[in-house]
Amino acid sequence: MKPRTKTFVGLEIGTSKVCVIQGEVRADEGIKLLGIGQAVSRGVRKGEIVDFELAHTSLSKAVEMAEKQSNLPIKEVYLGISGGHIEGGNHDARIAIPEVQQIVVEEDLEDLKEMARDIQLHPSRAFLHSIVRDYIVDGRQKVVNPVGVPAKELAAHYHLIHGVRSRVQNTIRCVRELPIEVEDIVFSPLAAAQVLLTRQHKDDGVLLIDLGGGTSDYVLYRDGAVAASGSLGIGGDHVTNDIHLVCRVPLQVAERVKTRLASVYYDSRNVGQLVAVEPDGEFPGGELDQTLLNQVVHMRIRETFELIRGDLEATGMYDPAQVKAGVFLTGGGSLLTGIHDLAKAVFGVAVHQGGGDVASGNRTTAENPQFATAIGLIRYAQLLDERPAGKKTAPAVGARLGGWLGKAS
Amino acid sequence: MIEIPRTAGDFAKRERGGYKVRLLGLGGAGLNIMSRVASEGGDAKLMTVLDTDVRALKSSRAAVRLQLGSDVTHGMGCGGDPDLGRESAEMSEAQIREILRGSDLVFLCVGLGGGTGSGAAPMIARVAKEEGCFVIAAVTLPFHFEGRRRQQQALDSLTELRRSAGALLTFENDRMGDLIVPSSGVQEAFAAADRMISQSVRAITVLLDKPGMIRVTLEDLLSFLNGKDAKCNFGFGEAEGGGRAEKATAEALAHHLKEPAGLAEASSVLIHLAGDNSVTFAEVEHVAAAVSAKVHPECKVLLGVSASQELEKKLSVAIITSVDQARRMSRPDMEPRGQELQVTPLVDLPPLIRQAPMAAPVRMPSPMPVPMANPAPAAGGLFGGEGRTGGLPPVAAQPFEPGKGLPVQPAVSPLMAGPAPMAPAPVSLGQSLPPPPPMAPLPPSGPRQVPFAVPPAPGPAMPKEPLPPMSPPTSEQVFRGLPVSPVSAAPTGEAPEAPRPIRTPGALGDPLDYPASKGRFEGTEPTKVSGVDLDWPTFLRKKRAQG
Repeated sequence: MKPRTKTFVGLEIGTSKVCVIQGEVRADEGIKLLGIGQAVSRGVRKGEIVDFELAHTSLSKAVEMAEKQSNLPIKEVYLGISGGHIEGGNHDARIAIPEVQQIVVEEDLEDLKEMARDIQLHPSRAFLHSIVRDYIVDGRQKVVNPVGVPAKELAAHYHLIHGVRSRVQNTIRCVRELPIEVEDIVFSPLAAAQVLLTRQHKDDGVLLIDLGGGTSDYVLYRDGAVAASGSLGIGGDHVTNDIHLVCRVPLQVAERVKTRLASVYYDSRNVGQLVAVEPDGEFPGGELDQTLLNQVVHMRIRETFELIRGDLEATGMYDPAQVKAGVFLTGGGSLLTGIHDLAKAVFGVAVHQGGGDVASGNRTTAENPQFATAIGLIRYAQLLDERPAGKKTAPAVGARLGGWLGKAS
Repeated sequence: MIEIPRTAGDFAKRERGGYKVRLLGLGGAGLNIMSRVASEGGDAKLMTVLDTDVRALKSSRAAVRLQLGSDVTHGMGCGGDPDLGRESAEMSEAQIREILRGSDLVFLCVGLGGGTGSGAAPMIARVAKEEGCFVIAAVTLPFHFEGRRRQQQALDSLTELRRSAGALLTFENDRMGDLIVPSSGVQEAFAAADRMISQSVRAITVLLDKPGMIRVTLEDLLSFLNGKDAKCNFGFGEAEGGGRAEKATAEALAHHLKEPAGLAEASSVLIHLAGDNSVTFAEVEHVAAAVSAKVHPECKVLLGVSASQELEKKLSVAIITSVDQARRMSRPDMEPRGQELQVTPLVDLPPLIRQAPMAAPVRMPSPMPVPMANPAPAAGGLFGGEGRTGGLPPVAAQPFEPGKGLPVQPAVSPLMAGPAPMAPAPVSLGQSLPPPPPMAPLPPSGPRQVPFAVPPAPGPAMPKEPLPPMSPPTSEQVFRGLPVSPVSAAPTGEAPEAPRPIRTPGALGDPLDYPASKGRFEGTEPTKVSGVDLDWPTFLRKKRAQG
């Protein structure tokens, strides 16, 4: 039978840019990019929509652009979600298998998950993902699929990702007003991980950090499964703002200076090294102390990395020796000169640039780390789609989302 | 606390009279307004007055009196300088926050144009908003005879106020028309202006705080204010004895009728009828009918009645008309990124049930409030309910409402074509925050820091000197920055022709100044980890920690 192709759309609403990508997935696992739409993001702060109207406009533009390129209308999307309110944590559950039953059945997995999720979340919060890390059957670890296995006791390790319900709903609502249906929501770095990291990476242990305009998101894999994840409300905008406030240049000049002139390397003994800054609007131009500039940038990024490392260590999951594949950096922030070295200094492992050739079509754009999340959402959709029908542990996509949609704000 | 201000939707959930209302009188005019409100029966316990002038404060009856910026103005007022006003308020920020905390609704009453009022109002509105209060700013704009400088200061302040105020009631003193008999003196003029606001404030607080026979909710009120920004006209009448309702109404209407645009153009009318316990249904009927007859059939009419012992047999009628401000056409390059709430016009609302103005007898409605179709957009429309842009099913109108419908298209008042916001530069990424105000350049300092060669970033306080004509830049010019404007403060001489250093942050031994504003993150919900506000530059935080 001829392998069917399906089209999925990934939508990422970032603080700097909105990105929507239509892709066709083929049975051989490649993704063909049919349409890419981008727009400057307005009305989004630290990964969250704060102004509906502005965000709506940005979204519309991006969607139109993609539709124009692909010549296909976009009716539903897989939506990437981010924001400092999102947290991930590990929780376990354990049940006894009734003697009369003897083997593990699907329902047991459901029960286990419910138990693990019974963690007294603050009422304002809801789950985004409940990811099985490991099943343990009678003490035996790493059981991939315990269904049908004879057992007396079944346990599982879960990684649960949750966020403030209303904030997520806001984003969903904004998309639905385009109007476009939201098929599913995905914590953004998880999506990016689908395209940037291989199975091998995940098995070896790898940390992915997505440095966006409004947030820095991360996900840590160990033994093939998500071991830690989270989002920090600090991003490229903070770097720009730091330059703006400390070097006393207007914001848009700071942005330019950041992308073109700054690096994380500085030596405080280096004085008087000046770099020219072009005029811009009312800003008459001038010179800037390179050392100070770099120091400002360095300190902000170092702090961000240190905060992530601190969070990871608090989970007890971060051990440089166990992260053999190292750190992958992606997102706009990853393009900063010298950031790899800084990451290496903080995390103590090798650092790589995320962004590769997992998608065909327009190759150069696909390699751009800024598209990793949107493409990752398509891959995520593909994976969900490929799950064998009837497997009850993967509830229908729409049903998953049911808890997020349709209820009052 | 999320950065989006609470919308009217939150308030809708409150019980009757459950709003914690606070009246703030700011500056000289603000204090006078408070006195008036108090003498007309307002509750002094709800009032707070703030001023830089200590003597004025002393004579106020308000429950809370705060002197602003004692170190700056030493209790003597600002002399009409808004910068001093702002500074004074900033110095007292912590106390202001204390006072505002816990209030739901804050009325900020201020006469714009002078120092304390114009300077402090935007900042206080912002603080109130941050503390979770919904701010209704009731402001007056100066008489033309007060001069252009005060006009300009008032307009500047108004522009800033718009950002933080949940709703804005603007009264132009000039348009008071015949509230003042032409032969009366300037004092009279000011007194009448104050009364205009005080009555309006009173009308509104009474509506919310002490519901009378007919309740009006905050949503009604906000829809009355047409989204955010209402240009109001005011008429007031008072009478006693037989036919008092007719007389008071006629008097109140008389003012409006003199206005060319007044009643006919009003998109909403708020009537406040106040009297003692002898107010009758017939009187209320009359007032409502008389006003409805004069307004456009689609004008929204809100009627609040308060009957209270204090008001002693006189019946007073206040009629406030509101015309929606033109939706501000801000240039796309000036649009701040999500920082400023957008005014949401109510034109999306489907027409509600109309009734012919005169024909419908004014039946006394049940205590049900006038329901509004869509509470949220009026207050800024960020998180209106589902299908916000799709329109909502119409809601049955109250019997006596003469007609509700699409608001009349806004009329732009020439006076309200305010100054453009301060952001000077066209922006590529949609950021329009003005650069931080220039501060006096620090002297070049110790071994580690080298003064910059960048001339001070342009800021609002910097007069715009035309730059000298440039000859084709030599390499020296390019790398030295532009010639220095003579207006800037002189640096200490570094090299003979060294261009001005810009303010060097944190030179060794100097105290590190945090800039006045958080730049990009000003007014947004901070990212806090372990109690530390990470929005401030890491550089500054660490340097400060080092000592």
